[in-house]
Amino acid sequence: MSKKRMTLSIIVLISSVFLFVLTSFAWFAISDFINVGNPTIDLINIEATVTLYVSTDDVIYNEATEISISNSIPGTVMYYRLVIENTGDIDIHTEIDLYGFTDSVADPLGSDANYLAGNSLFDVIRVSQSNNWNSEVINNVVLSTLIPFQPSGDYSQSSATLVEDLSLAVGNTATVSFSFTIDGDLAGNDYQNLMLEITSLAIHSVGQ
Amino acid sequence: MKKRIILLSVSSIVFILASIVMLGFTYGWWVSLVNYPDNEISVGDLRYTPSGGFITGGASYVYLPGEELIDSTITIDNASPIDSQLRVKIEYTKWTFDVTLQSETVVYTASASDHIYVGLDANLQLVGDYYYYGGDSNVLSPDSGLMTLITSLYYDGSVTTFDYAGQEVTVTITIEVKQGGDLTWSDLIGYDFSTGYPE
Repeated sequence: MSKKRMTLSIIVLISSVFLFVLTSFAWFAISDFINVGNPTIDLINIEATVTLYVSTDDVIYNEATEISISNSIPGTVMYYRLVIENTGDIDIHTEIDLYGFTDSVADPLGSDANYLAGNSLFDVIRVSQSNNWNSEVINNVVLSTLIPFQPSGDYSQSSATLVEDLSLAVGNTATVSFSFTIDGDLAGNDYQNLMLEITSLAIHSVGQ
Repeated sequence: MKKRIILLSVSSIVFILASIVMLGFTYGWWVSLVNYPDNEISVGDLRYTPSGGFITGGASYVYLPGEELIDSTITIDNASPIDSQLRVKIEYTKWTFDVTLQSETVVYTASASDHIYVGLDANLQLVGDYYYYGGDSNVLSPDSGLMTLITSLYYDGSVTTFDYAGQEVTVTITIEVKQGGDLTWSDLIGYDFSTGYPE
């Protein structure tokens, strides 16, 4: 019995050493030794530099740190632009998502009747997206249709994809333009004083 | 023997954990995430508080031409966080005798044919059937504060005739607001005054 346990332990040890060697190899496989005879080692790195811009007229853009549209009215359009540059060492795939949607009252001094009635800006915000890199477009689509339906009504863990795959070679720069419109035909008085919080605008990049 | 097994097990665990750490590092090099947190989109609202109104009328109230109908000046307080527009419409019962005595509901436009006098704030400008605050293209700034609308309203004794004797009259003031720019007007409040003749 004890001999059997010993054999098993040796097998596990060999397996774990093998696993360790494999993962070490994977780590080194993506590393680039610029100069083997020199102590300087440059590792291959994925890095995308992203800059967000905002505009009210789609002409003059200013740098922004977040999506922020306050006290808008039906008909309001806000334009955004993401400039994504592959500053890493390998080609990348980039995906852009809006993640986590939560309804709330815009101003506690105003009425909360519309919020309590369950109305959400989700259903009256239209989204558009185009970019100078691939053919993916979103053409004035209601935001709620971009997100899988949640029977619970909780969309705090849901995400809407703006761009699914931007393939950027090293040094390439793509510009993604997107906009939010408060639809004047959909948003009536029953959408006053509502807020939609979006947890994050996330730009993920992975190596090709 | 048992000691060796424990030693081998510990060594295996160390190698596995080291592999997991190495895997984490490796994966780390392959993924980049840029995150813009705390985004929000909000829609403003119209926040108007009206005050003032008519004297107490009712079916048994006997009204005399020239008698003031406004009990206290009709004002409105704008605390909206967005640009907005405001307009007022005044309708009243007009009795005239043309072969037969007949009544109609007409819109007050301060014309010579009107049978009522309305003391309107100078900022209210007539366009069509409505008096627009500051003109029909004027936009009120957010939180613009208190505005006087109507200080006086009565049937003008110099133009109302015996035709009115024993008849009922109704006066309606409708105040409408909307956000600046697009979309339609919606009623904010309606003031009604009516009289009757005692039987």
